Amino acid sequence: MSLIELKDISKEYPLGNTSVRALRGVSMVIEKGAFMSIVGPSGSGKTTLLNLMGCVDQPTAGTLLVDGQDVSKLNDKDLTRLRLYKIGFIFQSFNLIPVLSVLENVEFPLLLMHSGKPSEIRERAKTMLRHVQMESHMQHRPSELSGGQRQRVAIARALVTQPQLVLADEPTANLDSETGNAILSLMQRLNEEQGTTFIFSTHDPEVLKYARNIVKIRDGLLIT
Amino acid sequence: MKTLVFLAFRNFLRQRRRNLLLGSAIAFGIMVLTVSFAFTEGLTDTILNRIVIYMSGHVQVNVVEQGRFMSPVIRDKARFLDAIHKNVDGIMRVEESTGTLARAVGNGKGDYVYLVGLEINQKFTESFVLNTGSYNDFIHPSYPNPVLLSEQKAKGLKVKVGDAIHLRFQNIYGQSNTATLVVAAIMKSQNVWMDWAIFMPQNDFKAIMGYRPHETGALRVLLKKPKLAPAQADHLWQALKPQPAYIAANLVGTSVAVAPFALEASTNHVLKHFPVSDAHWSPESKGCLLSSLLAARLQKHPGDLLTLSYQAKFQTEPALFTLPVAAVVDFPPTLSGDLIFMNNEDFFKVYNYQLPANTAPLKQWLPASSGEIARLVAPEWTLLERTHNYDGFDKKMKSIMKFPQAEPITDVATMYEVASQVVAMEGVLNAAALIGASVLLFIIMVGVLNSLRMTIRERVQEIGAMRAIGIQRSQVKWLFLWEAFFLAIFGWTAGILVSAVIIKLLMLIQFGVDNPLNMIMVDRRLYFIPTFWHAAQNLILLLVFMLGAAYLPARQAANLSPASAFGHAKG
Repeated sequence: MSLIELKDISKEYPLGNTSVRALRGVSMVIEKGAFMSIVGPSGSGKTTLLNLMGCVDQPTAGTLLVDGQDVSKLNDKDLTRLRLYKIGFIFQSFNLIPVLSVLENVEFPLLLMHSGKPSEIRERAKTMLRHVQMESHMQHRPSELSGGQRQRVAIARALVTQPQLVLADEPTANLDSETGNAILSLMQRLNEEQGTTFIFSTHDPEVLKYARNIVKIRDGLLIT
Repeated sequence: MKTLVFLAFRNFLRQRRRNLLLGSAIAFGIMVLTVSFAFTEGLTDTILNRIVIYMSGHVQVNVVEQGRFMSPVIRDKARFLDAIHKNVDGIMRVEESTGTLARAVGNGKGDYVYLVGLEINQKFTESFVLNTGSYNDFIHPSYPNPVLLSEQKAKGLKVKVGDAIHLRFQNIYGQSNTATLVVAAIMKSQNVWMDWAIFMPQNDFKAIMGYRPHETGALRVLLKKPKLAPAQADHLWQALKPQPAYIAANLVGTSVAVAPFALEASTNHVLKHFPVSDAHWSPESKGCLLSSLLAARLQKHPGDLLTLSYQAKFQTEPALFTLPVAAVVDFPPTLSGDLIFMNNEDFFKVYNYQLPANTAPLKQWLPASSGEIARLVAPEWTLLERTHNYDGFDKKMKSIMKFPQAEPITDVATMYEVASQVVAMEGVLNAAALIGASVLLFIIMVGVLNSLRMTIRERVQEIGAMRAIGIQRSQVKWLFLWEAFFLAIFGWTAGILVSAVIIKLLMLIQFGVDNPLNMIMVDRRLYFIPTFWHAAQNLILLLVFMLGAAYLPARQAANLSPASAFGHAKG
């Protein structure tokens, strides 16, 4: 059953008086429960593709369906709601909210969703942190954590809302190989246990061994 | 919203150095505003409750006879008090204002002073701080004419407690008089106005000035809301519109009415209705105009003396006066023959000295059908037009002084006319404080705007990440507005605390006696009244500026794309 469907997607960015074509007619279908890697060198269009699938950007041409919904027909408010309820994000540079503790960072999307009483929200966040083995650092601020720990918290934040899709933009780029492997193992475990669809971009061949599906991209075109 | 407020508060605490700097600038602006407003409030209090009260009250009723402006006299105090109480709302109290300019001589030194009759009431002891002597010697003296004066004035006259001051002044009848006063107490100098005055118990003052119990100088009305004075003065003015003046008298068993010709009644106008054959006669001529009917009944001719008696309002025995017959003439048929006309000046000498009880109405002699003739009768007083600023008031008084008239002149004025220049100081200071603070706040606003822009630039990725996670545009906007709100509250609180310390310190400084600002000082110290309302007003003003300054950057942040969380134009 398809979760994401891209039909002849193109994306152009203006650059001075001209424009850059980041994607050129990409079409693909991503099934629910996939653990997929998008691979390609820098500037190939990986992040653009993730942006579009995560509904943080709109294609210049083509049709994008997320869970059967045509995102071009949604306004900013609906797109934001779609991201909040259906998509989780893991960023290359973690992007945790520095003024919140680990626990508060994980609670944050649940609070935005108003999903239950504060005590229930707290419990859900704690459970998620236990999953990523960060329960002992719940009161720490992000600045007090290592890169690997921050990424674990970011994974917990992305998964706490139980999204259908998690997008990870080069999740191991800022981590040493050992920590990177641990993070990917964790994502793999969560994919298997919870059936969450994971799509991550990378240009690190080491990472690819974890992916069940690999999509290669170059100059804005899918090459496999 | 709770989540946003919490996050905004954490963000506010995050940039400590920048916010401390901005907060200090805001605190400085708020301090300037608070101190300025507290000063103008103190000034207003000084003006309205310490200076204007002694100058004019909030509303003042003055009656002047024969151009003696320095010695006003209200003959029928009860009637005026009644009019005040019935027509003025929100009265705090009504005071008799009695005072006169006099020449005082102490121990070999002389000076002009303003002698003030002081009502001894509860407020009295609150108004003065004694240096030497006692209130008791002033209130219950063992000697006549006790006075209270400032240390400055005592120094000027070289007198101390127990010394005599010799005084030369004019009483309410315009006669020169002298009196010996005894210094009962010397008070601390509070402001230049009080330094100029010598105070004595009002009853003693009235006795030396020649006031009788039913008479007083001017009446000062003190209102709970002084700023409503003009409207209340207008009401009172309406109620004090005069009736025609007359004396219901008895002339050899006949009930007659004696009425004065109005000053504006010209000879030709009077002759039109009363064809006097004597070519030298005019409405100003001495003596009276008698109807031929009455003259025939009494067998009186021009040159004969009439002796009239009437019931005075404030005396049990009948009042008597004589009047020569100036002319006998046929009265128009609409008039009673028992009406006697006389000149304005002589009439008011009698009338003012002993107000008539006038139990019979004038229409008994001068019916409504007499039409135009009624306008030939002078009113019981001339009520001056209401003015609403100093210029109008000054113009009015100058024009009246040029043409002093026999009939009393009644004027209703407010502090906005009598003491308008003093009152205007308050407005000017308030406006200056507001303009200054607005400029200051505007500069701070630019600072806040730039600081927030910088903050947003630094947090692009963070905002993008929050947007990607699922925060709405409007929530991002509110996040920054709340942050500006916390900064404003921090700056305001610090500003209020600093102001409190500065005000306290400023109030400790005592200035020299020759300081020109003494007029607006209390006990030679700057006087501040910080109010909750001004603090709240400053906070509202600050919030308007701050939220105004934060709005554009907040909107800019709200419009950031969630894609910025992933970095720019990345592959």
